[in-house]
Amino acid sequence: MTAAVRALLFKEIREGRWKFAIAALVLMAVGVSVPLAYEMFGGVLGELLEDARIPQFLKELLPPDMLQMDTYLWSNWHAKNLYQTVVVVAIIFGSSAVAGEFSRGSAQYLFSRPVTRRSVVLAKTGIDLLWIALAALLGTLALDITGRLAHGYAVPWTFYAGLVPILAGGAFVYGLALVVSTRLDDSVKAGVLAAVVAALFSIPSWVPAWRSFSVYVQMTGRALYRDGAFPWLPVLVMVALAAGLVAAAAERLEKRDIA
Amino acid sequence: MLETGEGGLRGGKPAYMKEEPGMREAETMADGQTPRERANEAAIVCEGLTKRYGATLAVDGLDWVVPKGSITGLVGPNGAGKSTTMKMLVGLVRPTAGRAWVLGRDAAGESLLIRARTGYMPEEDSLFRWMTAEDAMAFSRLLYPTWSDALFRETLDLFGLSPKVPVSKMSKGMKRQLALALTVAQRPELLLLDEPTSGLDPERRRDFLNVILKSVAREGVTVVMSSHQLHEAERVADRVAFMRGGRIVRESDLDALKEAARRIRVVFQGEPPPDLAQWEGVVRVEADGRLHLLQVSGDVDALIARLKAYNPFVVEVIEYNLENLYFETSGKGGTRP
Repeated sequence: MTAAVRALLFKEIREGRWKFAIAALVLMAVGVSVPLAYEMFGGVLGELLEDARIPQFLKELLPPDMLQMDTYLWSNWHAKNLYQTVVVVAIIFGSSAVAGEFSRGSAQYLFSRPVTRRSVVLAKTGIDLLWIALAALLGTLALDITGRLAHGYAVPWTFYAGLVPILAGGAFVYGLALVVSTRLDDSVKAGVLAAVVAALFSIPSWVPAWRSFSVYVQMTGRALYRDGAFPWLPVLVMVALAAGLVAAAAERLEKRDIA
Repeated sequence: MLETGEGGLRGGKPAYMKEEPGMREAETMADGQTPRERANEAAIVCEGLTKRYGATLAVDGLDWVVPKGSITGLVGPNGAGKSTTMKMLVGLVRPTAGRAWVLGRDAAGESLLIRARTGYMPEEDSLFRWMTAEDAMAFSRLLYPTWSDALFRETLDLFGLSPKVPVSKMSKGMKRQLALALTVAQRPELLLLDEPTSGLDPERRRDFLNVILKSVAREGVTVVMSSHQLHEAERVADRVAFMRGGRIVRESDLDALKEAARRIRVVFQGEPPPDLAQWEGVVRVEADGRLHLLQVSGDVDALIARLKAYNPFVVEVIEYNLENLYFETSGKGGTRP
């Protein structure tokens, strides 16, 4: 690792530590709350199932194993809170990565240092994804520990393996936001546009036949939960797409004027 | 020293340059050298450097040579192209046409190597807001092999800056001081300072210029400093380049420039000598009744002695300062001394 890259990593770690702290705290708070809400959720669900006013066909839509702890945790963590939070955090981190340098007025200083623009993009991407992964891991650890303490339930290894598709999808969303970030100088506008673009990628999940093409469906790691099979192909595709987007962002930044 | 004039390879010289001593056009100094050869001899060589933003021509076929070891004041009105030129030299902005070499390196293809040896201080406050001076030192130390902690601390002490205060809590003047301390502590071979003293009070400005001068004295660096503060450029620069409309319209050693801009004011009692404009040493004559303003070169004393033979009411030498030259060059008139 060259000294210039170490300088960039130093800068990104120092600069992003508060964003990471907030993301980690949010995920840890949610991670703690999910096992603690299990009994309340079970009570509410039980009342709904016994409520005669609710049509039978609606009751049958609810998965029969919904009250099982493993189903409850997976559906409330991987399939809901964690993936949604990772998507939001990826948009925030990615959209502010380059645009933030312009809106904070530090772009001229940064890009007039003896560092390549590509290395700036790679350092930002590496550190931001590391922060996101650490925050997701800390949130999951918080959930695991709370589950053990509150219910004596230890999550299986697949629960942690489920972080991989979520982070691969998060990297893809980060890449989208990063591309937007190299085109706009205002990090707020970049964030809004990145969110719109990311939302467009949810369209396949609305159509049953296209669901497997949705990054957000693949992020939830359903195959891993149902069959215990690690979703190699979706993960590799998402990682490859993320790498392509980061390369495109670096290419775009390389060509633009820092006026 | 190499000197350039308006137009360079592309056009003719304006009238005011034709007889000025010590001034030559860009093409006459080329002498068949390749751009690379010239680039190795000078700190900066620009050939036809052009930057266009849409319909706006920011820099217009700039031909410019900055000799190694010189301190050049780059002066001109807002929008003259000074900042854009500097940004092209460090690779922040891509030229639309033309080329530049900085410290012997191609600005388009070797900007990383240029930035490693160049201290560039942008016009805007652009330091990382979260950084303290200590953070900035830790960051810069990794980027520049020639970095000097001692020089950085010495400059901070001179400015009275605390190493613990984050940039976000600093005044504009303090940010400029920190930026300069960071730039000189790189111990660069070339300093590109874009309006470095804007926003500073006179006392801080004086300290600021002293740091630049000390840096030059200690390291022998080449300095290009753009400024609206003409007396500043006059104080530190040994060369001045006037920029207007994206081109260097006038450039020379400061002394030669002042020498070339000397005037003699003479009020004759009767008719002036009919061949006054052809006298040796008289470059140009502006007449207003019996008042004549002579642009002169060479032996001024001999010329005054010759004028005194006509028993004029008044004969005096007028020394121009940079401000007069600036207004004359920019075509905005201004106060006559």
